[in-house]
Amino acid sequence: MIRAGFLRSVALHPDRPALEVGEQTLTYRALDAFARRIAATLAAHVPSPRQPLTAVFAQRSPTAYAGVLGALYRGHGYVPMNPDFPVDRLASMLERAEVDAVIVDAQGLPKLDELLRLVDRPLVVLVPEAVDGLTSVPAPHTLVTADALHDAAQDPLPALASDAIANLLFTSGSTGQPKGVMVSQGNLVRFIELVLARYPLGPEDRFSQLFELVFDLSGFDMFAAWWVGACVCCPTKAQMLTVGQFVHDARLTVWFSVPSTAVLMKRLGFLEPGALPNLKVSLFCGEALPADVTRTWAEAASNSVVENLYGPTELTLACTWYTWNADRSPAECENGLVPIGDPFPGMTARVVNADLAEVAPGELGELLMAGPQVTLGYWRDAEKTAAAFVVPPGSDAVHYRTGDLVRRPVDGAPMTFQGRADTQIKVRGYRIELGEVEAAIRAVAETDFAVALGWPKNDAGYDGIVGFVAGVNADPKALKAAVARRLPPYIGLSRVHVLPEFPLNVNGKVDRKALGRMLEEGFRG
Amino acid sequence: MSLTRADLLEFLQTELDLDEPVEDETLLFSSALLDSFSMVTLVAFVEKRAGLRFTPGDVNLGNLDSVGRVLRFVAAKQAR
Repeated sequence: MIRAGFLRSVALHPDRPALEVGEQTLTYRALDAFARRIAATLAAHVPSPRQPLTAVFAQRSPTAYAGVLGALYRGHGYVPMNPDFPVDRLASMLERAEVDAVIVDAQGLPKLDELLRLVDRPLVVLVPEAVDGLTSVPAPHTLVTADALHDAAQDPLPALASDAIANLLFTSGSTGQPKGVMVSQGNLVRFIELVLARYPLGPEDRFSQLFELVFDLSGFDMFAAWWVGACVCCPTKAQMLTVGQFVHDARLTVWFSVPSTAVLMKRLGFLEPGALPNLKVSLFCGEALPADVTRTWAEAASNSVVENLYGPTELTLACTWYTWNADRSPAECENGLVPIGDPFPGMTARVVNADLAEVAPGELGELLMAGPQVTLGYWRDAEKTAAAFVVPPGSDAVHYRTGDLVRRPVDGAPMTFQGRADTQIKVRGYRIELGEVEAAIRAVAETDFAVALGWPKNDAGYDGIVGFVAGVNADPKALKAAVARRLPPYIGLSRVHVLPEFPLNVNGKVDRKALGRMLEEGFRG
Repeated sequence: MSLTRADLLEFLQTELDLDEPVEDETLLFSSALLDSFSMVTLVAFVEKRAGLRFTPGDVNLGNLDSVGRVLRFVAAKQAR
């Protein structure tokens, strides 16, 4: 069970710091006690939940992390919810996950009343930190505040099967409805054991926590750090704006971010040679890793191993890796991108054509992967699960269809990422289905057709998204604002253009490439 | 080279797609009107218009979080 690593560190290093966030430091003993009180309170108020799941509506606070651990102590999976998301989306997550309890921090409070009014099922709303002025929540929900937390139970924590859900993570869905990926306890433990066998990590280490909890990659920072008794260093929102300074202030030794963050730091001048001497492990994941920023990073973090990790949420954070080597790697990069490398131990890769048959070495195909990191599928969606988790011809193992195009390696060469088989894009590491954005634009503009494009492009992916509609009578700014309210802020919708009509290609279809060219030529509506 | 308040306001609107009205002390980044990626664009613009170079130590909210702070930072930097 994934909580086992934390519990062992509580026993071995009770007075070492487990979490630093803002000005607050919590030792293993303190975080454990906080989590136990949350777990005991959950058990008392929801003795027999409909699902073994608890929502955590919090970010970058002690409550957020104690909430994750409290849910796991309770024997539940946690469902992270980001307070920056639109309330409709948050309400849909609460309803669809069928949770009976939600743990809330101060950042969740501004939207709490509006959110709870949208949820019909009675929820226990646990606000375990002291907050001013919160005395009630709308019916039929029940408020439990900090002064009503139960004492930490001394009873043994409930046992869990390795295929129990550890977290339920909602990702972008192409039809507009987010998909809930079920990551099991066994999946996460497997992942953590592999990374701990690969990197020299110990209790003296200080891990970055740049990812939001809704982003699966946050699991590495938390669970790897806590497994070895190290400290999770979580920047506040203000510190997130200048991460180049945070690396030094927090004395980080382990870095994990999307490549876009490294690109940003490079542009702001934080990656001079030798500038990051304290780092000993630097990991990048979440989007394509440009070779030039990797070279710059390796020179700045000259005492650090630098690795590119690859993997969708459905395969538990990451499932291939590649070590940057200043001598060998430049020749192995393709299209200016660092290879995604080799499968983790126990994982196998197949590169296939549209019939799921393997292509010849050197040819392009979709990457399928099988092994112990294949997750449990999509929550309450047998159809999408069956479409994405398949047994290809000639195999008896369930493979996940990544939708990522790679070249089948020849003779031990590392795998290289070549693009997507669909309209999923990465905006600063966030996985976004353009279809979801288009669905939101259509709904707001009350039109049958809309186009969303990643824009502008950067070396790793895209900085944001631009939308288009045609033939509607709408103010572009108002339209953009209304669409943006329906989507999580990370989508990065910068504009919605209202055109008289769409450009068409020779087949009479909307010419997406022509729209892209318009943007490149400086079109501003 | 000079950077005026009007230049900055126009840049925020047209290049960073800031729709909300902004006053001198409106917080841009810590209020989440803009994100850290827009900071890069802003730094590049200020460097070009004001003819100066940011050092890593200059890149912080104290110098960048509002129109007023940017103008004061530029004035101080140019006076050096």
